[in-house]
Amino acid sequence: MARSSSKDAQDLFRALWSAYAATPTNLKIIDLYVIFAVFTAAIQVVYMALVGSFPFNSFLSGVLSCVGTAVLAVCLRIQVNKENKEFKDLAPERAFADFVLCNLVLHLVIMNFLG
Amino acid sequence: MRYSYSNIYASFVRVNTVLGSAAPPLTVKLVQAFRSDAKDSAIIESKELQYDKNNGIHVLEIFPDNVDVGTYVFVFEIVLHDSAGEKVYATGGQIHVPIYVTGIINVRNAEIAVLDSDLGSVETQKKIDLAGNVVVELSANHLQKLRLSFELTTPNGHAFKPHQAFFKLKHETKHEHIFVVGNTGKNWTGIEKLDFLGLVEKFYYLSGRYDIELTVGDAVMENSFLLPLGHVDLDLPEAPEKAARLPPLPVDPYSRYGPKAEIAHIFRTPEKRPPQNLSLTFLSLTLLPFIGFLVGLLRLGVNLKNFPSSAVPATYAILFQLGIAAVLLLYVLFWLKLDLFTTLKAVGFLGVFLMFVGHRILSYLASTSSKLKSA
Repeated sequence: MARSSSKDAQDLFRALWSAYAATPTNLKIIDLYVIFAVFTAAIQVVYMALVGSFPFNSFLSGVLSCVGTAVLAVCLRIQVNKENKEFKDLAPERAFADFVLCNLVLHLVIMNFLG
Repeated sequence: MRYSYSNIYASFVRVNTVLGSAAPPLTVKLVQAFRSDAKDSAIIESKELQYDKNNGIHVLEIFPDNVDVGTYVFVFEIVLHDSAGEKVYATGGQIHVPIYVTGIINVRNAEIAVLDSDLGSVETQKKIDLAGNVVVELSANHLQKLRLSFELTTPNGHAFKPHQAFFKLKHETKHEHIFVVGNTGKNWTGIEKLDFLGLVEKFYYLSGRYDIELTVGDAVMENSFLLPLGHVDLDLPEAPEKAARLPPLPVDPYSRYGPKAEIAHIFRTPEKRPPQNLSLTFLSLTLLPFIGFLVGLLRLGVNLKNFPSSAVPATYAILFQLGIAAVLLLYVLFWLKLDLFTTLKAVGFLGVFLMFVGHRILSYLASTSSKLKSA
């Protein structure tokens, strides 16, 4: 039973991976970026759990910087994705400009909060 | 003008014009001199002052003996010798000059006593010499009275009423009570009787040691004094429940112009930092996802083929990248040393530049990609 279920899981993941391989490269880049940001945030959270949250604003700004940029990247991915008919009229370049602008604003606030 | 009784001087008057030059020949007449509190009783009437040619002053040579210490008003009048001068000079009519005749006041028979209230019998009585240092130790309870008495006489032997005569009791807690000496009757007597039974409430039932201070002063008294007389231990009853609370000590009105107490700011003390090695380890750990990101990009086979090849769009693209880098660098500077205002100003300029460049390069990219699509 256990063996069959693990085999099922492997099959499932393989199917998922093959399906994902079909996604365009630019979306893959964005996914990679999101993963990078989320992992950076996770490492900071682990650090905070280890040594305590003394410069709390520094911790918050570090984590929120990562989370914020990840969220912005997800938004960019939604807008760039050609499957989403909702954003068909929106040029991907325009979406990228929005992404850059939002990141700059976000990091201005983050730097202000960093202390 | 002051005239000291203890040092007899002849009083004199100097006359000159408004501009300070010498006056024409004239005679100064003392029309009248009277005590300022009794205008009817003139001590001198119509007397001419002698002219001292050497010094140019008019001298009142004989000062009457019946002048005691006190305040007087001398009324002078100026009579010009030359009648023609009246058209040139205005003499100002009668001139009232206040004169203080000062002197040493004798203090005699000063004594302080504690009396039993019901009988009026003397419990303790102490003579005090107000000229020297006196320290009186008294004790009294609320059923007793305190009596302070002294006599003041002028050099002529008349009784003297000082302008100010205060008797002060000051508790250890700085609460003080001031009594005006001898204001009970019509005639001033140097006797102050404190009935503690009636004063218990005024003293706020505050038992303990009270310092005694006596102040006698007057403008014409040359030996005005403020003397600590010692202290009295008062034994007052316990305060009843509804008794008035002890008022706060009066604040010195000048203290609000003085420097305020220094404000001690309380900053949050930094907590213990983790060991530096741990922090550095995690710093390198945070770099790991970035390396993973780069590795992932390589594995995806990302390239810069879409980078514009012709000169103008390539310049714009490079400028766009440089602009973003500049903004990020500015953020780092903001974190390290700049303040928000300079940063926002710089971000404003950089933002305009970035907007222009970004618009150029991204619209170029969009047009090429749409051309690609349509083709």
